[in-house]
Amino acid sequence: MSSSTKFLTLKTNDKEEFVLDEAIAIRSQTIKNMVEDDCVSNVIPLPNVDSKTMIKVIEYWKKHSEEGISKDKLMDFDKAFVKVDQSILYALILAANFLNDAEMLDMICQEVANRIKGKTPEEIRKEFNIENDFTPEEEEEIRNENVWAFE
Amino acid sequence: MACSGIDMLNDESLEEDMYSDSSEFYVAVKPQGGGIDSLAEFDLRTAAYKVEEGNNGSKYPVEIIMRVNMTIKDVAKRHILPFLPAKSLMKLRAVSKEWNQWIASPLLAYNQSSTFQKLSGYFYQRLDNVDDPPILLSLHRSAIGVPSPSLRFLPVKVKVLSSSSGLLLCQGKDSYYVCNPATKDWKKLPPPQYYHGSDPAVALAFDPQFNIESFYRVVAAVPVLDNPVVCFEIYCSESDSWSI
Repeated sequence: MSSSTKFLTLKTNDKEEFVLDEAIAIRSQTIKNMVEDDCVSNVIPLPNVDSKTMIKVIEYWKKHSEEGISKDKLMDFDKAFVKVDQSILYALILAANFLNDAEMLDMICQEVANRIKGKTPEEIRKEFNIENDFTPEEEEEIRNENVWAFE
Repeated sequence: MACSGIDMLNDESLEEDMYSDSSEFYVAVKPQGGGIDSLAEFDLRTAAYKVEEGNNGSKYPVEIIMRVNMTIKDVAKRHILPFLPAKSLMKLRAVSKEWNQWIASPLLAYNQSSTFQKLSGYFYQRLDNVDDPPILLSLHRSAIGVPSPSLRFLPVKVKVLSSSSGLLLCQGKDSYYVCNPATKDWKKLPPPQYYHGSDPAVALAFDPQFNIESFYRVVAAVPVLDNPVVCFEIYCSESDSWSI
């Protein structure tokens, strides 16, 4: 409403452009630093965020920037926000990590932790595409040291 | 014009493990001063970046460029693990060498104890029979547990008195013991100056946040003979002593 409202243009890796109120965009510490360093005369490229993910991020930012919104409302919003497929959560985690929004990153990581806490090492390797670089003997040793954790 | 250098990253380069082949990874970026933004970044190996002279390089600082190339397994290791309970973490040491090292590091232990704030379960013990060891009622069997819920790693039989952020305060025959049932670490407290009685009103206070040395307090309410007042005798782990 005031003439001092500034807008930033964010460009995702699939070449979509998002025009966003600067006050909202600086929830991203990465963007905030760029604004403070005076290097946003141009479009801000987001090389590892696609438009689908960015729409979710902006939805989160806008909700969390609403004036006078109650904590309960935000908690309900967050709960619904993370009720999505694992792959979307992982895209959001990478985006939040890059944009450096600790609040959003922690919220989603908490959700993923809840989903994976009962999983076995094999399932985790598959989940995150991690190579098992132990020899069978080494892996056996580690499992034996922590037998109780596998009970 | 200043913020364009990063465009050239394409999808293929995002898929690549940033450490595996740094010669193919080519970003025009001028490293900005102070790329180290937090302790949590300590294990990032230095990737080779080529700096183009005279280029209108991206203003993203190096540590942000690194984030572009992080894959979900890197972010998971750093940011999801601190939200997991101890039993899950001990299990996940078998995932890979990197995870094993990271989970065993004191930094993760510190991060985890200040991040994982959820209730894990209850220690349960019959008080009418001191010989009955405590048992742990876990809220999630495959994720939450301790190696020895009966606390048999302690030198004496104990009564569990109080718990605080993962530590337990126990009463043995002559002394108090503070232990971490997840790691089996324990400490026998020195004797207090006042007599606390056989059924003391005592509590443990431990706040792991901003407390990397893991200091804790034990607070005992001690009745004053012939007076309708109590005084508090407090044990400090920093000084390893009791004071009024």
